[in-house]
Amino acid sequence: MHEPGGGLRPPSDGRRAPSGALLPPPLESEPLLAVRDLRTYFFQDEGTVRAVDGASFDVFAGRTLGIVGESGCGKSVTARSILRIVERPGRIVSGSIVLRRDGGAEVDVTRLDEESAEMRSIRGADIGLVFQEPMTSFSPVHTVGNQMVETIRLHQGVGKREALDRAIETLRLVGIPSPERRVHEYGFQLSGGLRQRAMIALALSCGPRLLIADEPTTALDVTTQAQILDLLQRLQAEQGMAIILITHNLGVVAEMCDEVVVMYLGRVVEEGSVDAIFHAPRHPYTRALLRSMPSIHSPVRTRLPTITGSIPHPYNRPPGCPFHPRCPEVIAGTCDRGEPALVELAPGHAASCFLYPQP
Amino acid sequence: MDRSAHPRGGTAIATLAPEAPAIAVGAVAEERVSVATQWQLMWWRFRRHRLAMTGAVIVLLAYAVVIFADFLAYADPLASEAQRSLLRPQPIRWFDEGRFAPHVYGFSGRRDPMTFKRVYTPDPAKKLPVTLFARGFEYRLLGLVPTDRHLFGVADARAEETLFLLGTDEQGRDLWSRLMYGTRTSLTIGLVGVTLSLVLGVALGGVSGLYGGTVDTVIQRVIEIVRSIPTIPLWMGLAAALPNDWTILQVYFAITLIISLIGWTELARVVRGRFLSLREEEFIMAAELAGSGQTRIIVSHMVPSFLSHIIAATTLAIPTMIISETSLSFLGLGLRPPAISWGVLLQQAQNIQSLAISPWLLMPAIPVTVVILALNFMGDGLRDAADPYA
Amino acid sequence: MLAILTTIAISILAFVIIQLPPGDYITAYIAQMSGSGSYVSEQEAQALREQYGLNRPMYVQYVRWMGLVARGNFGMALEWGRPVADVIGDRLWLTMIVSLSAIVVTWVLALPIGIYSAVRQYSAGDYVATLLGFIGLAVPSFMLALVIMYFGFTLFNVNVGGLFSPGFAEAPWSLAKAWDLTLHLPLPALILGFAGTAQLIRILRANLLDELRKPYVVTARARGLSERRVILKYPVRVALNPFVSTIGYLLPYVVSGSIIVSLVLGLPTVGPLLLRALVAQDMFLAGTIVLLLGVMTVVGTFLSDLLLLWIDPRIRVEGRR
Repeated sequence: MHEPGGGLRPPSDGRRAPSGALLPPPLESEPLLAVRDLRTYFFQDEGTVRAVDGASFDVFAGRTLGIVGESGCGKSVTARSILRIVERPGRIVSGSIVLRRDGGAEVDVTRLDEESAEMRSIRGADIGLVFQEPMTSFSPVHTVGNQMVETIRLHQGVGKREALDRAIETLRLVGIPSPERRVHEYGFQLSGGLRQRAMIALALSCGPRLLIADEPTTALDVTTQAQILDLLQRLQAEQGMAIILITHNLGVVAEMCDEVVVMYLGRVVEEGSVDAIFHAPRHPYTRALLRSMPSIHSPVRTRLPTITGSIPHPYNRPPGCPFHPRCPEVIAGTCDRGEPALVELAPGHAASCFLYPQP
Repeated sequence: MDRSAHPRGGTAIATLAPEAPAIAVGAVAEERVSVATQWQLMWWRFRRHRLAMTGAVIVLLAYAVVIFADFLAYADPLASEAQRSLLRPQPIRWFDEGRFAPHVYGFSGRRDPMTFKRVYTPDPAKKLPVTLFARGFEYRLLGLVPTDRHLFGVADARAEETLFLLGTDEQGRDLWSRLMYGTRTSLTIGLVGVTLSLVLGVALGGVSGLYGGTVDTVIQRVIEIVRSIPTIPLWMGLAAALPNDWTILQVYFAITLIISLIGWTELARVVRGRFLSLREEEFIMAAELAGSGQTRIIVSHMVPSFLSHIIAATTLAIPTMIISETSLSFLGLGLRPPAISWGVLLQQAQNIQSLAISPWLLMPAIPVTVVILALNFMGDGLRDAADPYA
Repeated sequence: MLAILTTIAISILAFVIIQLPPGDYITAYIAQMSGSGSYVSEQEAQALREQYGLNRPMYVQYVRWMGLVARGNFGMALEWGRPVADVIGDRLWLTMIVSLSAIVVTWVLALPIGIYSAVRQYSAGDYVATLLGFIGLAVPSFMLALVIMYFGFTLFNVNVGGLFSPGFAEAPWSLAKAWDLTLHLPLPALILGFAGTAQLIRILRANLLDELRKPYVVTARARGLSERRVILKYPVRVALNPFVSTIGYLLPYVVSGSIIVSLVLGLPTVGPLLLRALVAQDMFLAGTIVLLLGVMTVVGTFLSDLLLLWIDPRIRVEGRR
């Protein structure tokens, strides 16, 4: 996966479906990343914001996990928690994030000190991060190459010339033309789509086994979006890396993801394979989300169903199930009292809702 | 089940105990915030800034001194009395053998055997009671009502027998009373100066921002030129050129004019910046499309937007005025005796040898620092609060 | 370009200052002559006026004066009876040295304190730095100088004024004298630069706080860089830019301040000289000082703009496109 000799893996033998599309590799038995009951709170003067309040999911090599939800549901904070770059006044309060490193050793990232050498060796080398704002993700005063070389030299300990070569190779891999020239340019000199590709190259420069993409296409136009998604799929097939794709766009999820986690106000409300979620959603929130997607097949002049109400203010968390004030299937007296647990309803498909028998 | 069972707001959820009040407050607070006016929002944000509030209180107190300077002083600030030259500060002693009886020690003079000069030292035997609303020199309260009552003082004070809270200067004039009057002068110069700067700044900055183009470029260059010039030498030159025979009032206004020329550039920049950014705002375009005239747009739409910023910038400009006047007067080029200002008072403290002997002459430095700090805090708070929607 | 315009503006203003007091050069000259016993007749006065061109219109006089200045002839200092250039002598260079050292001190202090303040926001060090910042903001430099001198005198019995030890003051320049100067520089430079330091700390802290929240800092951290590298290499570099551009406006401010502070501290710079000249209405001396001060400031500002150009690649690159 992540060889000392070079940053990138040789292409795998991609399996193909009858249509010719690449199929994801079969599920390994052990997850690459296992998150259990993660809680990340922000302790502010005005109150405590429970940004992530009990999230659990698994990520497997070579497959894409989508984390879906409206703004403010805790998706980005989850990503940052995995990398231990949550900003003060936030911190991980409880839970575990177990990463299986090269060679099989497992490490619970929550137990590591944020600034320890071990944590820093995970960031960038084992896990890469791609942001939604490529413009501001590059330093305005350093060249793209400078930033890539810095990362490569840090994690792979090679000389400047060698690092520069690898950087150019990575730029080429993500489809940037004339990479030898581009490597010496600044972020603001590249166009939107190229910039996002460069951003991906920066995250991949040391061949990480897990790529976390936080809304990678939100700031792009539709055509570029499609190109970037294609790129991510291609890279995953070639390198066999796992991808966590964070987005609020269900269309992207349908296209890219193998497994999906639906979050609301910091909790996982449903998780399962992309088929199960799209064709047999169990949680009222998921159902409402899917209903609210405009479809080219719906009859003309029908109103687009929306979810009533709006996301509560973080300091105004409703008691009990966080979704109950807006839930069309709410059970008075139950949903506003306790918090439902995440219960497995079918193999690999779980939901947390009082509609289903609780343990 | 159905939506009507859960109206927005706190009522239905009030049946649940612990978390209810917080949510109710939250929802009600959200409603209040959405209907508050711009000034209310600004006031709320300002209020949370504790340092700014403290600053505002101090500034208010300072300006109260401006109005009531005569009342707060107890000795005629211009009455010089050689016998009382350079007396140490006399603290008020509050208790006389266990009873609450505020008093000061009187002075006795005796001849110093070595210098043959009469030297005055405090004499514990002479106890002069300090009373509230004592009679003193005559003045007009608020410029209207003739009276001779002061906040406190020693009744029927004679030359050597009166309060000297902060000591006296070389000419025997009581420093506390002079400080009161000095505060009045320095702070009013600050206000008048900043008003002039404001007029200049708004006029030039406004024209620059509204019309743009060549006018803007020219004015911008002028501003940059003014900013690149070391100001003190130039204003020293101008101030020195004032004829010696001008009256105090004329000098006062001339100095005010000079210092307002020092600070207008900053205000002009702020105003221009605001106008420029406002011009691009969509609500201005909407007003234009709706057919509003230019004046109406400026007055009803633009001005309320940047008024708060202007207030903040102005408050922050006052300290510059005060420091400029203080510096000029300190050099002897600004206000001159018999006018009294902080700078004039500090001028007496220039000589390090005499300062070593009479350190109380440096006392005016404290109100200068405190008021300037207070103004800065207040201005900072105003500036932070000026964008309630940010 | 702007520098040239500014220089012209300064020269006009300096000229105005020279012309401001009632009477002209000849009147003052006559007054001085009669003070020392000589008498100048009306005709002689008129002839002198012709000779100096003082009965010509203002702009002609201005041009003539500029011509003289360009040739290095700054006129006579009346009170001293010597050419202005002689009287000013070293003082101008000393003024610039003190001002520049004040700026250096400002930077050397403001940079680490500002960075620390932003990175460890709300820590004890941050509050101390903020407090110092406020003091610097509120206390005019001359008052600070007064207070320090007072304490130096009364507590330590040391006269902290002056730029040279007694032996070196009048001596010709030598390495030893230069070293003596260096030893005496820190205190005046600190006092002069204090207000500027305070201001810079606040600006740097505010800028850095803004930059620290930006995505590229998070990306840098996410790549596994050490915290120190993350802060120093990225946001500090970016936050420095507006910082550098403020050097330009620091210089006039510091030069201004040095006038008054040198008075209090008794430094042999241009400040006390200017004051004396103004009080004595020695106009050529005063005007020339103003002119030279202004010009040197403009040069300094211009150089700082060049520096900014070199540091910020955004300006460089966009200039090329």
